[in-house]
Amino acid sequence: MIPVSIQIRQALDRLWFPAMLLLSIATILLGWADQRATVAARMAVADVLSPLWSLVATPGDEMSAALSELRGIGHLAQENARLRSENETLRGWYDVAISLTQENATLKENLHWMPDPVPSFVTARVVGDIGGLYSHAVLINAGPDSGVRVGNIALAADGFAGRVTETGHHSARVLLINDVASRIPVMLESSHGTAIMAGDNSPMPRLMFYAQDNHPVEGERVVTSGQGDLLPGGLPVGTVHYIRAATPIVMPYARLDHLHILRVFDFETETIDAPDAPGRVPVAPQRGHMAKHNNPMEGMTLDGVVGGMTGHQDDRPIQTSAPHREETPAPADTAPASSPEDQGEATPVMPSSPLPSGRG
Amino acid sequence: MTANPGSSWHRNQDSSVALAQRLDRLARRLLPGGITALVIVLLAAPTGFPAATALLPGLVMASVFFWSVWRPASMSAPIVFGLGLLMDLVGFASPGVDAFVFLLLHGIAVHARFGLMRLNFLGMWCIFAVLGSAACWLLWFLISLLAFRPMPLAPVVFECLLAIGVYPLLAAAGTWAHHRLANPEPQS
Repeated sequence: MIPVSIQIRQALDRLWFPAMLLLSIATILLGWADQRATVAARMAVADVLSPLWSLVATPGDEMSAALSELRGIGHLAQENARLRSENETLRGWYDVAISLTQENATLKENLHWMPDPVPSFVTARVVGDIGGLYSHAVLINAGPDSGVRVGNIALAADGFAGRVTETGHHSARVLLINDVASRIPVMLESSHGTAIMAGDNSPMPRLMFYAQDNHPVEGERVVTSGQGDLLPGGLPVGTVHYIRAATPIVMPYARLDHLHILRVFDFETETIDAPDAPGRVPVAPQRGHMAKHNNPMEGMTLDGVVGGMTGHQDDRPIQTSAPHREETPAPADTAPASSPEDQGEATPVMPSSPLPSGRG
Repeated sequence: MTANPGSSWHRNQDSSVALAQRLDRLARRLLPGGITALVIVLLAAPTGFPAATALLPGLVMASVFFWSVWRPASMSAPIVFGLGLLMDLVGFASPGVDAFVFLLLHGIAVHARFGLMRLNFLGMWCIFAVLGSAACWLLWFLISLLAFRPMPLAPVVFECLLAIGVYPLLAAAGTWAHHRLANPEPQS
């Protein structure tokens, strides 16, 4: 220590506080302005701490496994009976599955079905619950070394859990579907509606922007819709539940508060690009045509989109979609983000403006 | 260089004892901040500890407040800043927000410490309840401001209650440590 007089030391001590306060304000502003540096700093800290966290997590996992085993011993007879009956049911389903698989294979062969690319995946352990109070995210102990990239899909054992938003060297952050920043396009399986599943930091994300004449049905399955090219379609997400009238939420299959192991899939969805359409009719007259209608928003509903996709047209004649279908054979300008299967039918009624008839 | 205070004939005995003593004092001085940092890191691990994320801000606030009042040398402004920054980076919050709020709490506690030290435990607890709640709401306000959207309110209430509830436990442990472990000049 450098010998200094007491007065100087006291003055220096008094200076520390305002200096640190200014430094913290500067950190807030800098971190806010330069998000990339913030992400780098966070991932560096996470990279350093993730081995420690996995060390800490291991005894906890073992203890909870031992506890659940102990608890299971008490109910062995009951459990055995339950499993036996479940096994009988499952054997029936097994036969059904075998025959359906064979039928499916035959049909696909006859149709010259283009098989989906098999996604590669990495299984990683959740080593950190780094969400904090105002966000929900987990840290996994796999990074770009193992092939995890930003935008990959994380699935828990039961269903869709989240997406990789940041990667370090050997760790990655997965933003969960119940985070307030999460917006996932979903498809409702039995009512064939689409909606946006929006997280609100509660355990169950809400459904927004569904068609007003096609409400989600209580208890129906929710899967990803595959629109927007970020996610493949058909990943199981959860079931619809109404907590109040007109407030549908999704009860996720994945246990988002007790995630232990995640499979991170690389679906390579960004490789699907809509082809250019040389010589097609320009979009400008189409907009004028739209404006001539009394209600220019007519036909821009999710229902119209879904009707177009599924061939489920309702009785109400949708005037805007039928002529457009002939005028615009390929939708490269209006909606470059749509997948190839629903081109031509769904896209003329899917403008880039927000969907007006839905609500949250 | 031999740090053996028990041997009697080393010529540099005095300086080595002084060095050991100095290291010992430094370790005791850094103990509160170190333990708080360790708690921040450990509570972020998936230990299955219930409500760990809501408990953490209250725990750190209680620690900062307690040590700022009773031993400001152990919880100086740079240490408070470091703890806040660590919490921001570990918790993926906007960096600096926690540091700023904790520094304000620390500043108030240090400024009013001679008044606060004269209060009994209940009085201290009441003061902390007010300051901690204010800090939780300020944290909520800053995070909402930086995210451009109001964050849900229910977690803040929960966070405040946990902060108030955890203070007596921390104060009991802290009082014991204050007299024994973290004391740079033990009486014995």
